[in-house]
Amino acid sequence: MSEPMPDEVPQTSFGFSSRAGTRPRRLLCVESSCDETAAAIVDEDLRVLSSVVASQTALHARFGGVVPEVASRAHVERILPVLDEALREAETRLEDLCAISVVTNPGLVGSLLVGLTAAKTLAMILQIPLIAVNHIEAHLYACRLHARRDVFPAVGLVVSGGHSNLYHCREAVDFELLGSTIDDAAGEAFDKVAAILGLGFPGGPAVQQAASTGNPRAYRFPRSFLKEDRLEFSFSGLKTAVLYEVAGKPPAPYDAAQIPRQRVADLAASFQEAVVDVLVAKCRQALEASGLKTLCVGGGVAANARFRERLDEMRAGGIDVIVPPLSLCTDNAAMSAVAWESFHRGRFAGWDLDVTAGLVRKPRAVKPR
Amino acid sequence: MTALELPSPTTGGGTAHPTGTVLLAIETSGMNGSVALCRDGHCLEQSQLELGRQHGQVLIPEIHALLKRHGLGARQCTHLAVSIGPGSFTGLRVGIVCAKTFAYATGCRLLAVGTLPAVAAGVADFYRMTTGRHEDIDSLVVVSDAQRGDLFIQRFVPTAGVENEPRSWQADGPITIQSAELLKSTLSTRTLVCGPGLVQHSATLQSVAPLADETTWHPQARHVAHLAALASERETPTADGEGGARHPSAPGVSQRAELTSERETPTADGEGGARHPSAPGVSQRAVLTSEFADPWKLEPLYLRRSSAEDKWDALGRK
Repeated sequence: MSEPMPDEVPQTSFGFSSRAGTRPRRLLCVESSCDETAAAIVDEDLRVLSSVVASQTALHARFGGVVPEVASRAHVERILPVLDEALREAETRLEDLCAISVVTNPGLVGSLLVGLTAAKTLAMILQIPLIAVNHIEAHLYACRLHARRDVFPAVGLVVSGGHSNLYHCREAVDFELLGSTIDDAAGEAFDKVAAILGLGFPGGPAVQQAASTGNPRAYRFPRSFLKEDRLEFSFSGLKTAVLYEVAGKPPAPYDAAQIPRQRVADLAASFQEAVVDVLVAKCRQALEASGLKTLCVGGGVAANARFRERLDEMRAGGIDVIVPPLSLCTDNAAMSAVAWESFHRGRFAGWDLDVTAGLVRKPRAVKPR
Repeated sequence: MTALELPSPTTGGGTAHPTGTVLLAIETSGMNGSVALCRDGHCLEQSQLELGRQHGQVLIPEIHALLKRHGLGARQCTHLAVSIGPGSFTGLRVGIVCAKTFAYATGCRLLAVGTLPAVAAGVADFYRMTTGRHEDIDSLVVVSDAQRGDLFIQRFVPTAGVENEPRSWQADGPITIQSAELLKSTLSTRTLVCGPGLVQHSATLQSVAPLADETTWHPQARHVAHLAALASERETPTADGEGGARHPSAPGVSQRAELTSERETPTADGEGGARHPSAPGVSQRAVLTSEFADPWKLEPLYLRRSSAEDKWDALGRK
């Protein structure tokens, strides 16, 4: 993240001197960590001049999840059109850029490599600095981008298909991981429950839609660690409880299409309520433990309407809750504007920058029994 | 557009052309990656990518260092050739994304070169310098590991050469996918076998057919450059894009750029627009002719779908 600049790049050409009196400098952000190919132009006043996202949802739908090789191939197809569209929308030429940022972790290795290679190639050709962006930090920076004011220090919750992580965010690029899921991420649970109920992929919008006519109290599903102090999540048991409710224990073969509509709605609503109860409770615990009054929420699950309702209730209770609009919650490149924070701190990457694949999880202490 | 000529990629000999062509070649299809830089028909240098590190990490610094050693900048490259496979999907993607982004940003011409023909060009190059060996050989088979126990296989036959001219190889049909055992049953002592697939399968194949010298097994960027130069040479600067029909590509060089409908009106010479894009992407799209790959469309020669897709179909789902 903070490697020194390669000496090949002339330091003088982009120093930290005051702005030249012309228009604000422009940053190209590239993001390809999972199944969205995205690029954005954000100027140093944090104005999003363009944000282009090419979704692969349709390619992965039949598999019920993201297939890494399929995702990598789609990124190769889309990377240039997406970059080009971002430049055009922002009426920006390559020569107008002062730096390029790229998400290097976490994510799928084959996907990350596409964005990384495109970004490095451009940085080499244009002789401008390269900045590595952490996808999770970017999700929380979406709150800063949306709020248009300082939001840190804050408690940060990133809740997506890969992560359910709580952070103490001291500043934009100084996060301490407080806790994470010990098994499935919340978004993953939505996908799996959608599959159990025959609702299709991606699960988040599908379950929300089904839940809209359901009774959230129809089934009493488990809420892991709700009464415990530890800032961890577990959604695997919840998903299994839904499966047992649908298919019996042990599960017998069933046809999801034969489940009565109202029962699907009630199951979806009850599941969704359990997830949201846990997310809200753990945010409250983290706020109390840290003494902070600001909560930043990012990631695809932050697009869930019921979760947003409950966050509104927290806001009414005196917490400064910042949730970006839907387009900044799901994966996008504009949130990589966090690279400006690195830029201003002189944290540039060398051209031998590599990706770090995988998911971010808090290492678990071994508990003596 | 001026043709590139690379008489001998290893020796770099031949007459210098006052053409101002600078060709960068990228080979990342396997473990042993390389980049090569050629100027006016001379191969200036081939540089190996550091073994044991990921291509995604080392490719860009290596290109930058190579250009710098020869006093060149990226924008001075007029042509970029890239090995498109078959090979490691991840490795190929790194080379190809670099190549297409490079072409997009600089407006240089992009040439897609088959990896197996590049190996064949390397074999020809090697035996050119060791005349007298394998006189009885009448065909070449290049193999590359296709995973799941299979090989990618392409057969080559000698080009109809003039006497005392060095022999080269031309593809004799498309790439097929077979197990090593099945390939073995089709080989004879008159077939020379080469390719990166020998790393895994030499033991199986050497009992029935002669293997090429081990130094020729892996594709090299300088041979990618050589084939690209041959293809570029055949290119005729027609504005209507019909050049490809009259002048078929060099063996192994993809003709993916048959995309007239996608293009905006081609310019008569192409050079000006290509080198100095007025807006990102516009002019690059306008200057493609049939011998050149379209950076917007270029992708690895996968030849296989993802295993997830195969499994899905095997289950009979839709």
